[in-house]
Amino acid sequence: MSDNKEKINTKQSFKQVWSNNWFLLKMCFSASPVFIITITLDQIRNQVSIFFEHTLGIGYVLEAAEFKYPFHRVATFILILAACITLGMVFTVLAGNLWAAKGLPKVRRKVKMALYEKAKEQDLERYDNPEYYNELVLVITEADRQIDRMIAFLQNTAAGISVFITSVIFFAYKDSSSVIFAVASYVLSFIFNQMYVKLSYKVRLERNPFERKREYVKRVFYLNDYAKEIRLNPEASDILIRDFKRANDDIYRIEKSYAKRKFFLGFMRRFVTNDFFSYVLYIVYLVYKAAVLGTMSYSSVAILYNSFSRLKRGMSIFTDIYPYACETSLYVQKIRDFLNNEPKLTSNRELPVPKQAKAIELRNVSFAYRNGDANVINNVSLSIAPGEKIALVGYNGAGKTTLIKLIMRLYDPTEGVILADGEDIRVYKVWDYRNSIGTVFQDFMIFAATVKENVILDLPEKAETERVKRALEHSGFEDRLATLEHGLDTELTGEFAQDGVNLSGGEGQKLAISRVFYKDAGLIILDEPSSALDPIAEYQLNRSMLEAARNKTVIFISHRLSTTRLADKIYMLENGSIVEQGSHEELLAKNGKYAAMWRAQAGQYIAVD
Amino acid sequence: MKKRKKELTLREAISNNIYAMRLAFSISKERVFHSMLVRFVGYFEWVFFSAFFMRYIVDALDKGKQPGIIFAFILICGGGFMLTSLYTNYVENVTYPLTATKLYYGIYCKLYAKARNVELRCYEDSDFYNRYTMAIDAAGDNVANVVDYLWGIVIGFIATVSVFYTMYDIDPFALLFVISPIIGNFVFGNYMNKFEFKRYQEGIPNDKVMNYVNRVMYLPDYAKEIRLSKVFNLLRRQYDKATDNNVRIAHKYAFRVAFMNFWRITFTFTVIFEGVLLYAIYRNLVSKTMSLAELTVLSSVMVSATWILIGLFEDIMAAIKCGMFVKNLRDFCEYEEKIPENQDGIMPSDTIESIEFDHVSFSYKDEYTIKDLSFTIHKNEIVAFVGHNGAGKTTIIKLLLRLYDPSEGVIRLNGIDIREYNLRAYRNLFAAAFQDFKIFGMTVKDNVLMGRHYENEDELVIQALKKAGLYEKIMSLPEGINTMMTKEFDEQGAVFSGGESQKLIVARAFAKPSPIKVFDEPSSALDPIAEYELYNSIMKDGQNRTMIFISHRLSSVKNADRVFMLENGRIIEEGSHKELMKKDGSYAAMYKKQAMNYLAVDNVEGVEL
Repeated sequence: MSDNKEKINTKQSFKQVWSNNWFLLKMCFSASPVFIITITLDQIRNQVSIFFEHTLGIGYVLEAAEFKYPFHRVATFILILAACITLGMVFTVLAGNLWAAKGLPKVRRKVKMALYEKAKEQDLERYDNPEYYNELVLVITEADRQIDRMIAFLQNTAAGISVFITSVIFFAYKDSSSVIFAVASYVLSFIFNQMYVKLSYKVRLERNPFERKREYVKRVFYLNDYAKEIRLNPEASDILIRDFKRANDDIYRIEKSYAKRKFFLGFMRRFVTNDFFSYVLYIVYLVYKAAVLGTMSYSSVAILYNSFSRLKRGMSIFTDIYPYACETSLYVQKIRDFLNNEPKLTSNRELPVPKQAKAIELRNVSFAYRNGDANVINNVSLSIAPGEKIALVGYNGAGKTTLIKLIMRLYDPTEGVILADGEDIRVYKVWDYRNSIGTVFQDFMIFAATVKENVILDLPEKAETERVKRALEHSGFEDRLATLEHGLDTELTGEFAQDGVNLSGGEGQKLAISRVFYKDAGLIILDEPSSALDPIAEYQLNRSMLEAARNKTVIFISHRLSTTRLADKIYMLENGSIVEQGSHEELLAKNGKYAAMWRAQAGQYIAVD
Repeated sequence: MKKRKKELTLREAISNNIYAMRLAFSISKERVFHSMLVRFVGYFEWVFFSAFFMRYIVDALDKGKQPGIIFAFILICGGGFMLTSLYTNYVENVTYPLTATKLYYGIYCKLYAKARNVELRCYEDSDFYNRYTMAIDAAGDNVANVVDYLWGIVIGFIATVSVFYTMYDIDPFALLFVISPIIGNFVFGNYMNKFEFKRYQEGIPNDKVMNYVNRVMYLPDYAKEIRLSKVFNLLRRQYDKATDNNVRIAHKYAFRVAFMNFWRITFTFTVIFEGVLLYAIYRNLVSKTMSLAELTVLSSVMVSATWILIGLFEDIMAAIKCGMFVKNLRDFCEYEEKIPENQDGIMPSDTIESIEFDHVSFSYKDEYTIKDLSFTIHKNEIVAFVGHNGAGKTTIIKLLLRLYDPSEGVIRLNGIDIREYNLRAYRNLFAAAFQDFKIFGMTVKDNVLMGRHYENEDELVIQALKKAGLYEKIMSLPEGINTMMTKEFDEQGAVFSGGESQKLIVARAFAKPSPIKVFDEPSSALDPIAEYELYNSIMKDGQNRTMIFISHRLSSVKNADRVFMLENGRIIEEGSHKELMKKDGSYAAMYKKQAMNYLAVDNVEGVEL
């Protein structure tokens, strides 16, 4: 909503509009020059051809009839005209169906890829900030539409300029006073058109929040996420339908309140300043010249009348395309800002990262997601030796996952420093650093690709098949793998493959864990790796992990204290600070918060009389 | 065979379009009526000004009529035109927006009523679901469009005939030329459309891939994986391949489409245009059987005839395309539900004596998830289902709630087949908390009550929140239980973490005073203390009720009256915890494994579990 308000108030300088449109045009051109050139040329050719055919051609024939030219001369003229037009048509169909059809996907790719490459470099914090995130979504989802608009813009401009030049020349030659009518009509209709457009925009703005409500209800009823809820709670859908009705009534009310104004302005811009000029005033002028003054031939009357609308259209080109260009420019400005945005997380020095078991140290680290928010992590200091197994436990919301994200350098701490093998992690190349850590998060995603590709998360030719198989064995996936018809090359998710396989929650988790096994990194980080697994699977996983991670540093978060118990050292977090630390036995002996939590969970397993 | 198929499609398309027309008429007679009138007025003006207006004027000039008469004529026409313009503007700016809103409401109410009445399986059947989402997505606009296209065809046809008559009136032979654009549009144009459609269809899988990559790049769900691995290389390659494929497809069809397009344009424009000119000038100069006035009119009428034919053809094409959408809409509206939500039947009693599964099997697509299951649950029993992932536990719950019907066997409540009960009343006996839930864009209170109304509602909600351990969190929000959830409609809307959301879902189940309560993994995202307290709440709430729950947390299963262990869709063991431990079978093995994880021992001999 605020975005739209911004649109209406943003004043862009002409220079800015020009520069932005030119920027996008250059990008499209570099992707497929043939496409851009041919569609532009074709528009020019088309308008010039129409001019010759309709205006000059008919004019000549009517003249020939009025002044009795010899037939063979006229016939030759017509035949040559036909031949030229036919040749022109060959060019047109090739331009549209060959060069344009091939060029458009290429242009789209160029623009989208530039956006994607940039998107992946953006800091993760962009996704937390709704303002930034909306921009990101807008830029990416609008790209195709804006490219289409740019193409249309190019075509309309080329056509418009051609129409303008040919019409003006024609009228200047034939009857220059006509131009006065065209200009008058044009200026007046422009004024009312602007008012109409502004009003339409106001209406759209007012409608927006109610349309969003309507769209939401639509989504709830057609997405299958909500289908079960609606069936188990039918009264809830009654509420939604009531909301839907209200939103619809509001939209009706808004439209009604603007109806009369729109009607008036519409009538003014369509009839009074436009058609009235063409169909009454101008024709009266022509008839006056022909019948009263006798200074115009009848054939001229017909031709000028027919061409008048073309003249007006030629004039309107400059004012029609400018607001169009402005809207495109607003969007392109966002793209350019987006592309110019440098990620905050950069490296001071670029170094390759060592691959053996890491030592990690946090010194007085604090962190808040946004400036002014309360600290999510409060002055945390801890030290992990290479090969140590560390567990993070605590209540929901204590800061465990955030700490992990800091260690992974998805965010930088607001205070304090994080060291890997003794060096501030900010020293290392961001991508290399992150790439040298094997991770599984709670909200992992399965991609629409093969099993193999989902394990290595890279191009398939880089996969070492044996290593992939072993990784899947370690995570307990091999039984499921055996049931897959195409084995490692089975497509996952039903996104584009008809026979794509959808894994259950637990199976997906095993696949995600195998990513870690495959990567074989010096530091392994696991966030709730077994929440969806049954006890046997969890038990087996723990065993595998211990085996495979023998020489690695491991950090993990889990609510299942049976897993965290196996760690060399446990850190208990509360409100972003470490409240207890030590091995499992030490913490039980302390009989503090950890011990209470342990008893709550483990105590249940022992029979109580 | 091919011909019959084509006829069928045409007949189908017509019948579908009529269906849409009748639907629109039933919701807004006004819209249908004005749509027709506007089209009529539009075409009338067009024909009038191209055929009669100029003809009269040039004729009058040629015959030397008084200028005064001509001016009068012009003014009268102008006056008439003004009236029609007032009407058209009124319809466009007042009637259309208002009726569009009414139409939207009427259509969607119908669709939503159907959507919530069909069985859950429809949402999981990708074929049905795709058609349904296509129908729902642009239903509002599409129905209005169908009305416009149909009138366009009817009136366009009438306009065509009257223009042809004019040409015939001037020169019967000129009418023969009309065959040319007919061939151009209806023959070549048709072929061209067919090829373009084939090209579009071949490109659909590639479009899907590009849409997928687009989504992955901006949705926050994938943001972490993209930053932590090289999966972007994979995505980029998928996108590249899809683009290259589309370019290749464009090339494949280019020459065929261009060829048809060329002939279409040539026949539609060049032949008729230059042909009539040649013919007319011959008649005028050589055989001297056509006046200047007639020549003038013939040239402009011929142009109009061409454009009217094109308009007619485009409307026909659009109507056929819309016909496909309408087919989906119609199929959906006429679909006969297998488990209609509003199914009437016996009203179940409030007391639950028994729930019985009698040799129940269930298969989804071709796989059997449940095989020959038989068991009975008695009044006020607390029953637990355990087993490996994918063993069928959640399916049993869904069958019990009659979200699906069994493929074989019968489910009985109090001895009666559940298919005979009034469905809503039957479902009302259950309160359920599922693992995959949805929080709606409504207040906390509404999200808990889900549209149901009780005495002392607020108190009920607060009690439920307390039991679920969410009360403090809700009270910390600015509007308490009236806080809006999700940021869908309110920037300040509350968004909960995974654990908090889970507690809200459990609160829903607590708030509903049903005789049977069902919990599916209610604590997977909770920390141990919260989990412990939750199970205490659940057990307390389950006194004097029948309760069913699924859990991997076997320590909580201990308190159940009976435990069913599932494997591969069958019950392999059943009994109380003590009985099963004595049996020392699969259940005991699973329990011991989980206990061993906690009790830090390698075996549990001698420990009472």
